[in-house]
Amino acid sequence: MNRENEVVISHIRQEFSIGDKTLEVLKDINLELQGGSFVSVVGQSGCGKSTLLRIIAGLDIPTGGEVRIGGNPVQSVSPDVGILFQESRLLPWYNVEKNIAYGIQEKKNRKEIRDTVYELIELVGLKGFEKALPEQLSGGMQKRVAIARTLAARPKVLLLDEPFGALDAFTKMNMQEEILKLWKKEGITMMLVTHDIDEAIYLGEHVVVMSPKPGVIKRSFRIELTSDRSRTSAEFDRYRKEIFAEFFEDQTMVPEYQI
Amino acid sequence: MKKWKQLTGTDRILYALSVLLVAAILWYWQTGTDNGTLNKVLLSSPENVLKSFTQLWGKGSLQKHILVSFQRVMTGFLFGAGAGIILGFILAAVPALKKLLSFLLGLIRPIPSMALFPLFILWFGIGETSKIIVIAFVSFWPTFLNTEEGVQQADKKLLELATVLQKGTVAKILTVILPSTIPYIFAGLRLAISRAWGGVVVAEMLAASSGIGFLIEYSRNMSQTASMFVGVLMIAIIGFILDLILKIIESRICYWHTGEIK
Repeated sequence: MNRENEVVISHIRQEFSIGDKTLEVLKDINLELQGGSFVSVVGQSGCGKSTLLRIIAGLDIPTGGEVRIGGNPVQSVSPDVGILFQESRLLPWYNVEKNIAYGIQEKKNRKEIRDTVYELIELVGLKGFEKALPEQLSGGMQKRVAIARTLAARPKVLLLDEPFGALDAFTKMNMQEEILKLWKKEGITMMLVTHDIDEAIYLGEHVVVMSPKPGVIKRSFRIELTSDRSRTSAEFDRYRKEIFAEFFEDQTMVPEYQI
Repeated sequence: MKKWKQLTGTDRILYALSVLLVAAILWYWQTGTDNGTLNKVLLSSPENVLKSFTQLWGKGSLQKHILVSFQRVMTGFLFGAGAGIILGFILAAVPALKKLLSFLLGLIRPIPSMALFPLFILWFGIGETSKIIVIAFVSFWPTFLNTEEGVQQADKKLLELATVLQKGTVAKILTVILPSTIPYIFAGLRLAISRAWGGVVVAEMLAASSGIGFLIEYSRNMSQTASMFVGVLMIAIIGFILDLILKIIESRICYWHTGEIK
C-alpha cells in the first residue's frame, strides 16, 4: 500500500450563498482512498459530486473540512493531482505533440520533452498523429490526447470528471478499457465521478453513492468482480440492481425495464 | 481561406457568377451609355474611364495620388489599430479601469470622425497630421472593441485547464488568451482598414491638394466624370486587395481555424 498517493477526505462541507440564502452543497463528506485504489462516485446531477472533485483538485476551497493527499492538506492546485474533464479541452492551436507537452510540469530540456511526449503517444496509441491538430481528430482520439497530457504531469492522483460522457457507446467502452490498463500499469490513485452506474461498477473497486440536497454519501459498495469484469455476468448485474435500488427507493420507483 | 481546388461544384459556379455579375454591370454601363439610355455626362462610360485611367497613369499623377493616400492610410491605421489592440488588452485585463473609462469612451465613440476633422485642422493645421489623426481615430474603434471582446471571449475552460497544469499568468496569456484573441483582432483590423480608406478620402476632399479624395473632388469641379470614376475604382480595388491581404495573413496565423473548443 502506498501512502504517498492516498487521499483522505475529512468532514468536507461546502456552502454556496445565492442571494441571502445559503445552499448546502456538501455536508460532512468523509472518504478514504487508499494509494493506488480506484473509487467511483455515482449520483444524480446536483448531488455535489463534481464540487467534491473540484475541492480535491484544489480548484474550489471548501467551507469546512480538509482533504489530504499523501498527508499534505490541499490548499490550491497541485502537480500531484491531475484532472480529466468531460471535454477534452485541447488547445486548438497546438498539435497533438504540443498539447501533450503542455502537461509537462518538471523543467526538462528539449530532448527530454520529446522523449516523454513520444512515450505517451505510444502509450495512448496515437503514433502517426503527432502533428495533427485537435480539429482533425475524432472525439475518442482527442480524449486520448487529453489522457496523455494529464499523464505528462506525472500525477499521483487522477480525478476523472465524467470523462467519457460525450463519447459514443463504443468509443466509451474502449476508453474505459484503456483507463483500466493505465490504472493497473501506473499505480495512480483514481477517482471517477459519473452518473453512469455501469461505468462506475466496471471501473471502480469501490462505488460510492451520493444523494443530493445536501450532498451526502449514502452508501459505499465494495465491488468484487472476477478479473475479466464481464458486464453481462450475474455478479455485475447484482451490483447494478443494488445500486439502482439506492437511487429509486425514495421514489418507490422500480425501473424494471433497466434490469 | 479555401483553395479553389477544395471548393464544391456549386461554390465554384457561384464564385464564377459573382465575377460574371460585375462583367454584366460593366457591359450594361458601356452599351447603355453608347445607345443613350444612360446619361453619358453623369455616368461617363467604361471606355472613357479606361481612357482617363491611362491618361492619368501616363502622366504619373494617378500613382502619386494613390501613394499619398496610401501613406496616410497606413500611418493612421498603424497608430489607431496599434492603440486599439493595446488599450483593448489593458481594459480587458483591468475591469476597474474599463468601468472608470466607460462613460468617457461611450461619449467619444458615437462622434463621427468627420465632425472632429475641422477641429483637428484647427489644432494640427491643414497638413498631414490632422489627416493621419482622423484616420487613426476611425481605425481605433473597431480594433479596440474587437480586441477587448476577444480577450473576454477566451475560453474559461481552457483557462481552468491552464490553472490545473500550474501555468502562470504570463504563460496563460501566451498560450490561451493571445491565440484565442487573434481572430477577433483580425476582424477588427479588416473593419478598421476599410474605414480608414473611407476616412482618408473624405479628409482629402475637404482639405488636401493631393490624394485620391482630392482627385475625385478636383474632377468634380472640372466636370470630369471619367476621372471621378477612376478615383472611385482605385479605392475599390485597393480596398479589395488590402482586405484580401489581411485575410491571407489571418489564415496563415490562425491555421487552426475553429470556433468551438472540444
